[in-house]
Amino acid sequence: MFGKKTKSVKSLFETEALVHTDALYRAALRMTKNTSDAEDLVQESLLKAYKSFDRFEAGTNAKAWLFRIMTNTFINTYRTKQREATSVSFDEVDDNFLHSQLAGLPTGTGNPEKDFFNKILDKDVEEAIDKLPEEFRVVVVLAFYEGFAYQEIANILGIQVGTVKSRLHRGRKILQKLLWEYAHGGDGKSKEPAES
Amino acid sequence: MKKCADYLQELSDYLDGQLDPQLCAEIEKHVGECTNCKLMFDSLKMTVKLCRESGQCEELPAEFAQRLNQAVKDHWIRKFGKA
Repeated sequence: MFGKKTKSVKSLFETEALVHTDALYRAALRMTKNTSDAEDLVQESLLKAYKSFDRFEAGTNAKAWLFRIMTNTFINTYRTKQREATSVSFDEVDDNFLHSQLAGLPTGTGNPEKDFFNKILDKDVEEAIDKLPEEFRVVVVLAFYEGFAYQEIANILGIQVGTVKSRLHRGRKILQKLLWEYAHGGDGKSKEPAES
Repeated sequence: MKKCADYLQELSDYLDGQLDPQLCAEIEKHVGECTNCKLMFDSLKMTVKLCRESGQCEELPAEFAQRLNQAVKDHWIRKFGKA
């Protein structure tokens, strides 16, 4: 029979960790970009969490702890496995890109910002996120999907808050450009952005 | 005199609540007066909104949930023996 203590550990794991499996899976899908690797990543991460659960301090942020385990696992295992053949650079993304596009639109007609986005589907957004270079993609997923604060993301990834900020800033600009191109049937969908 | 490009540089930090109130007020004033910057601002906000919403309906596939539960259970049994 399970002892009282092991039973409570099991039930604590269920209430603290297993409740976050949907969130872990959502993030894993965007990190790995495919369901099979996402499932493996979630399972491996949860089993690692389970093994080291005695080191988890009750009352601290279990979700952030699990995401730290999962991002480490991703970086150490899956990133190496699926290292992208071509490294895509978005250095050329200009802050003024959309501004200059908008300058060419007729003014005073309809609601352009709504027109801009009403053609965008969830699938398009996911594709756009998948196109982000990995270091931006992981930060975007942690911030936008899971609502982690700058400091939490910095702790999860073991990087400086300033790095989180700049990756999020760049990631957001790239996504804005890609979604603009999707909405206008432009390059975002038909080809990869220029290589470095 | 600041140009549109100067304000555009600040939009992300503004959206994340990282700017001081004086700069926020300056940006809000400019965005209120400049149609293109307002569109940029709104579209950046909308980009984040779409990203936030896009993954929210994703649930664990039932078959995987079952496998996951079994894996945790097996691990539990290996560690503590069968109940």
